[in-house]
Amino acid sequence: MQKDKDFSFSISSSSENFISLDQTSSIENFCEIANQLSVLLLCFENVTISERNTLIKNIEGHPYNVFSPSFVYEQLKNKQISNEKIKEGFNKFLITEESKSIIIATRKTLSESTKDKLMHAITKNRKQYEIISVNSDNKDLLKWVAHDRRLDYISIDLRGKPSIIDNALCSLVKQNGKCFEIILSPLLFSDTNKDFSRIVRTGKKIMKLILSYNAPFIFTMCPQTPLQMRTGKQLRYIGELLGVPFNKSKFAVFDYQLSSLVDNTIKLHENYVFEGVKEVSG
Amino acid sequence: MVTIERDRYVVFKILPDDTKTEIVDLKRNIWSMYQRLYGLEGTTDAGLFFEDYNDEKSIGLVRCSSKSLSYLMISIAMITEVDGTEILILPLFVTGLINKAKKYASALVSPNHNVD
Repeated sequence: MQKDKDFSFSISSSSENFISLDQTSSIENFCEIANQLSVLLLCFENVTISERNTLIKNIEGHPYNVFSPSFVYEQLKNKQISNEKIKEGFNKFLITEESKSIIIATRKTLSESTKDKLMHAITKNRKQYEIISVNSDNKDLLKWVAHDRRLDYISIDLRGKPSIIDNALCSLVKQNGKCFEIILSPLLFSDTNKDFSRIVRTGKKIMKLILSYNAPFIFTMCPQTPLQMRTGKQLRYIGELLGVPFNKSKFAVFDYQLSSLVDNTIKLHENYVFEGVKEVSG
Repeated sequence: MVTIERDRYVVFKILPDDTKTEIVDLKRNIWSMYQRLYGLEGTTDAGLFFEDYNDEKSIGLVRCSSKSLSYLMISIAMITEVDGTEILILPLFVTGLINKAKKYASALVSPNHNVD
């Protein structure tokens, strides 16, 4: 993203941006494995902010600490003024050696086919989730999404058609500081070799276009169980299968995710008035 | 001119901790995944060799050529299950010296060692 060009986080940190909770796995299971993999940021799908806060309270007696982004922001907001400093503060908070910390965020993926339906869904979900992503087969809709400040990611399913991503969309995404979210799990769970090669072929086409525009992108595994998570480096290695050189995906596993999350946390805070303006007590 | 091909040693750990994975099954899975992705020729060039494996702690050491390190890493990351059991192979340490790799692996295996 353009706004964060001069900012870099620790390379070894990573995040998992798209966790779907099911009946068999709990947040604690995910945190347990995330702690071993140094995955410091977990985003849970379809868990609202209030539900997340309740779940966090119940997690105790583990070798790691679990926090919500708003809690971390509360600690930092009086010390740091600019957004960049707050992002740096988040990173320092996460990589402190003494206490292993994991930040748990919430997200919602909107899969709508028309603009009206999507606008309705955004209004409904906007304040309930920290990250909002859009997954759609409609090319024009994705272009509209690239303009909208309320939305963060455009999710790309590698099983879909590569034609939904075109030059104009890549250019718009770059201009507006949005991100493509590449879901890598179809590579791991393809049924046959034919299916696998089709996914790789689609992925290569999409990534070639994205890389040619230098548009920001992030990798996610979309894990259903804790053992489907991967470390940041492993995600970058899997990304090599799609023709993304290891060095070009440095920011795709942690930096962009944290940056979006911090921006949205600031926006969701009660002191926020509008971009660049916030209420200061006293 | 004679060129020496350098080796790389990867220390890995299998998660979850209580998994009892046989080295034979693990070898078969890594070999077949590598072969699926890079073919027979690629697998031949990689020079994969399993140096060491501790059944109790599920910590192992695998050797490959330096040029095929990233291919091995991809293959390892792509493995989701062994013998019907869901696992995660986590590479912990990569080095070019076998003694260093063995030292690291044995430190992880020793009971007093704290992995964190």
